[in-house]
Amino acid sequence: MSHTVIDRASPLEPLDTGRGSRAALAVVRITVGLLWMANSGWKTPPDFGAEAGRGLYRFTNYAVEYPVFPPYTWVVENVVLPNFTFFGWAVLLLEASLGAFLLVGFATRLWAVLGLVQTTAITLSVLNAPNEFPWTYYLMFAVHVVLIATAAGRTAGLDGLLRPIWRRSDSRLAALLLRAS
Amino acid sequence: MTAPPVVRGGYALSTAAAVATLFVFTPRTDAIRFVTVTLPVVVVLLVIAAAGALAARSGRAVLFLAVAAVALLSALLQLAQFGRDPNWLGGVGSTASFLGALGLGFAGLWLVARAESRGKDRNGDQPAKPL
Repeated sequence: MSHTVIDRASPLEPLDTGRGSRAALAVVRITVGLLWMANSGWKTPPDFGAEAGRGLYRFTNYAVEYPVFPPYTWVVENVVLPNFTFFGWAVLLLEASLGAFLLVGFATRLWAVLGLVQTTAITLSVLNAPNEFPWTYYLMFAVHVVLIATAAGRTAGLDGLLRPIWRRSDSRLAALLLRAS
Repeated sequence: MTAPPVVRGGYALSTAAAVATLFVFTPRTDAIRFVTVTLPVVVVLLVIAAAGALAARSGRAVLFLAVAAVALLSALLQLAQFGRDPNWLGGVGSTASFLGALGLGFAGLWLVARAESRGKDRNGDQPAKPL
């Protein structure tokens, strides 16, 4: 049964907050978590494909071979590729963390923002590369915006369980986590 | 009667750990292989699933913390050894991510269970009804 919160003073039609909608939102969040999780599996240390020109190195190098945004190309060519081991680890840690935090719905809004940042980096690297489907990246942007706008971790996620505890706390960390969730 | 959220959460995470062991049967190139699971990882996941179910059944905060510690330490071990030799768990980044998710999940349940038990202790000092 659908359930809505009705504010009679608002001219806007209220959003559906019923059980089905909340379950669907949890499915979306978990799917996005699995997306990042699965893709942290092929970013292999210690050189992340730099020596063989494969894997993460190859896709990052697309930003130079098939430029999308010249200032970003300059950064990749002069900062990222010469220090690729560091950036490889940063990408692996970020994507593995995105998978973990979004899957369980912990600080979901913060991690969805970081997902947007990483989606931007990926898009600026590979959008013009051959055999890429641009709508993949547009959809990645859209789905992270949905997670932020709906605070999707409050549905079947840790945020939903922990927010009442954070609300009762006086600590700064709790206040930050309330904003991040 | 519906079980408390912390109990349902514990069972949900334990079920997720147990179901993920099925990925051991999916080929490396399979499109539905979201997480790389090897035989040593199956053992770790089954331990987490069993201990997690026990924690959910008892509702004891310390048990949730113990399961979280096992999962998070396994995730860190996997992350440290991924792409190197030896790789005791034989997994990759997705394995570390999934074990990390289980660790975060059980750590969150530990916080909830701890807050609930503290709340009960506090209420236990006072009469249930005004005299």
